[in-house]
Amino acid sequence: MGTIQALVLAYIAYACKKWPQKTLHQTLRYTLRRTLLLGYTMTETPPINLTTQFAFRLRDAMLAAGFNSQRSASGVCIHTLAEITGYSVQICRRYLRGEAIPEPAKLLEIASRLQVSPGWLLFGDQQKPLRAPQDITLSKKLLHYVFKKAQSLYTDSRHRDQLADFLTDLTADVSHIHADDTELMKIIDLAMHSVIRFEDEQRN
Amino acid sequence: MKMIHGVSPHPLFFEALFAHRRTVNAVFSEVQGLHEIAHIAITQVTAEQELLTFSATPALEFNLFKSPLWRYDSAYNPDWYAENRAALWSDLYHCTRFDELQYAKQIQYHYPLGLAMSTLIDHTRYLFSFASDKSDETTCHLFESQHQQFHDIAQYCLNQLRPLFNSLHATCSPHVAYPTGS
Repeated sequence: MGTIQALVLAYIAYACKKWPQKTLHQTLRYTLRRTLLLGYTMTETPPINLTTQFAFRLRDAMLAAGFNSQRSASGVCIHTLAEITGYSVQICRRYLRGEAIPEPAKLLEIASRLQVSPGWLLFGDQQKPLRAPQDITLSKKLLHYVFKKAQSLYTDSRHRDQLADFLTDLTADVSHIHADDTELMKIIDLAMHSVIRFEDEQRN
Repeated sequence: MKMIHGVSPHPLFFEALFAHRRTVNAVFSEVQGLHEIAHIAITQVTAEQELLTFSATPALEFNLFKSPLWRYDSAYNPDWYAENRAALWSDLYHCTRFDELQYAKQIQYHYPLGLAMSTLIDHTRYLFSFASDKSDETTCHLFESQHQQFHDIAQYCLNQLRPLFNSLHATCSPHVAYPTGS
């Protein structure tokens, strides 16, 4: 069996499991539409219905934070959510019903008040937890690679005071990039080389 | 809004994001902070309808273009950028992928506010991109109304980055082959 056929069958199996309420015909049509008409890659995940999932997690986080209400149909105190967001009760009800998602600034406020990560509120366990902008998470292997490559820069550089800023930005970049270690090392090499090139340009 | 066709990342798109990182950093750091700008990126649309980007936050563009998600961001849609115009990032996300784009471009980097601009300079189309880590009333007002000033800031950076764009055009084959999110 060819690779494409195997991938299509695997995708159909995945779709049947993901959406058991759909008929095989609907699943096939959906698979074809996604892979052919929209030009998707076979391995791509379908769009996530975030609003519904967001509503469930918002409710869970509010309950965990003690903002529950027995009088409310959702089980959580909508007035507290309105107070956190500064929005009307009607808008907050839409959040809890899975009809809307707050804009980024409000999402960050809600997450902060409920002491959960905004990434978790939106995506649950599917994504890495969201870090504060000043935090960098990097594997020991990659950090060691950055240090190793930076050695010669500190010896040769005429702008050593700016190197620390550059290396901090670079490690932040690398920590955000979705790629394997080999590709990340290529990126580190390219960026390190850009320092040498920059130094040369400054000299000339 | 439709999914984007007819435009693709330049073969050196991913390499270019990092190959001149130090110079690009030096240029963009001069304007970061002005008008509450935390992120700035300049994309050139080549005559072959290929995209080349220099960015203050290259991880953003790297992840975006490694996935097919960028095809749902109208900032890269020829129908949108064919004319000189500006719009908030969130107004350009395709509704079917809105949440994912908002996460990939804004929430992940704590950029609640983003602005995209399209402009024609010396017969070449450029896309300017700005984001702020603030979302107060003053910053929102700046991003919604002071487009000419944002344009001037980006053009100042572009003037310094133009030799880099030219050097990439002179390079025909990529040193590092990166598969794109097509």
